[in-house]
Amino acid sequence: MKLGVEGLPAAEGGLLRTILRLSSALAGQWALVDEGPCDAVLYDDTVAGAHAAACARSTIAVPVVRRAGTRPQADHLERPVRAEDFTALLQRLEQRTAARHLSAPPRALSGYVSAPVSSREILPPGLPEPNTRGRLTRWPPAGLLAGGRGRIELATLLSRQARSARELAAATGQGLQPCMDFMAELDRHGLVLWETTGAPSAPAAMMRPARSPALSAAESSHGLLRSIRRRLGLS
Amino acid sequence: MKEYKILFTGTMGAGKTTAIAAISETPPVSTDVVNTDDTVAKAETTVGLDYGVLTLEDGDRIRLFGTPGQARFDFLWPILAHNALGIVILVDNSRPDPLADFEVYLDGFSAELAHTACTVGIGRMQAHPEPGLDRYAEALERRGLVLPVLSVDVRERDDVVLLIDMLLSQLRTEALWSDE
Repeated sequence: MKLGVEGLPAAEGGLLRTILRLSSALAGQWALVDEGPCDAVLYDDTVAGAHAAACARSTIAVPVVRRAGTRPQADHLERPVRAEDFTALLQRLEQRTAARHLSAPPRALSGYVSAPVSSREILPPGLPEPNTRGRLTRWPPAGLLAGGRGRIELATLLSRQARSARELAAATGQGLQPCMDFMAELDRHGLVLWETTGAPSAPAAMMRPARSPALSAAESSHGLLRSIRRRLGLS
Repeated sequence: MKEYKILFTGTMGAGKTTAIAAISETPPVSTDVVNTDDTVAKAETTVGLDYGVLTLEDGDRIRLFGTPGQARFDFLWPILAHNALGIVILVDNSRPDPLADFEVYLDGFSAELAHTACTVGIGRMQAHPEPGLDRYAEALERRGLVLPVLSVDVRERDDVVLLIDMLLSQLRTEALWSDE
C-alpha cells in the first residue's frame, strides 16, 4: 500500500520512512511515496494547499496536527510523531481501505430503475448515480461544511438516514449538483456508507431516524416543524 | 393547546441559560444560587431548572428547559429528556478536559441519543480551538453516533437558532419520509 505525504518537513518524512522500515507490526505493507496516487496521504494542516493536494492524490487524507495532550484519534496523526501512533494509524487505514472496497456500491442497483442523468448533471468520477443512497458514518470536518447553513443541513439529513443526492435536493431546495458535489466530497473523505440493494447500512444499528412521541403523525409533524421555523424566523 | 419541549444540557458554565435567553420570548425563569464551586468562575449557577418559552402561531408552546450542570443531578436528565423534541448538548471548550465532559453527557443520555434529535454546540472555540470539532465527531463515531457538531457562541441568537434548526432537520427527516 502507498502512503503519500504533502507539506511535511523533510525530517518528518524521513522519520516516517524509518518507522515503516523498522516496524514489525506493519511487515513491509506500506511504502512512502512523494508523488502520484496513493491509498492514503498525510498532510500538514498548517501548510496552505496541502489538504487540497492530498485530496487530489487519495480519497483518504489524514492531517498531521499538533499534539493536544490527549490520546490520538482515528483520523489524525499528532506531532511529535510517535511510532506506536503512526503504526496504529496505518493499521486503521488498512481496515478502512479494505472495508471501502467491500462496500463499494455497484454502478446500477439491481432491480432499481434510476432516472436518466441529464447532460447538466455532472457525475463525480467513480461515484454512484444521484439516486443512490448513502449515509454519513461520522460528522464531517468543519472544512467540508464551510460556506453557510446549506451543507450543515445536508449533513444533518444524512446523519440519520441514507438518502440520495436527488432526495436531498428535493428536501432542501438546494440544486442537485451541489448535493452531488457534497456527497462526492464526503465520499472522498471516507465519510459515506453507500447502500446496496437490500442491505441496510451498518450504522443503522445505532442511528435511527429521530422521532419524538410528541410528533404522532406525519401531517402534524410537518405543520409543527414549519411553525417552529417561522417562529424562529427561519422561514 | 399543546406543549413541546427542547432540552439544553451541558456542564456548568457551558451556556445553557444564555442559550435559552437568546431565543426565549420571555426572560428565562432561573433558579440560580450563589456558586460555591471556586473552580468555575461564575457568580451564580443553576441548581434547579432554567426554562424559557416560545409560543407558536396556533398557541402551542415550546418549553425550553436547561438541566442543572452538575453531574450529581444526572438522575434528572432522563426524566427531563422524556418526550422532548430534541436535546442540545453544550460544551465549554475552555474547560480542562471538554471531551471528558462530553462523554458524561453522552453516557447520561445514551438511551435517548439513538432516536432523539440532538445537536452539539461547542463554545469558546475562538479562544480555545483545541480540541477541534473533529475530536467530538470522533467521540460520537466511537459510540456509533452521527450528530451535528457546531462551533457556537450562545450569546449570538443566530448560533442558537442554528442548533435548533438542525434539531428540526433531524425531525424533518422522519416526517418527510415516514410514509416509506
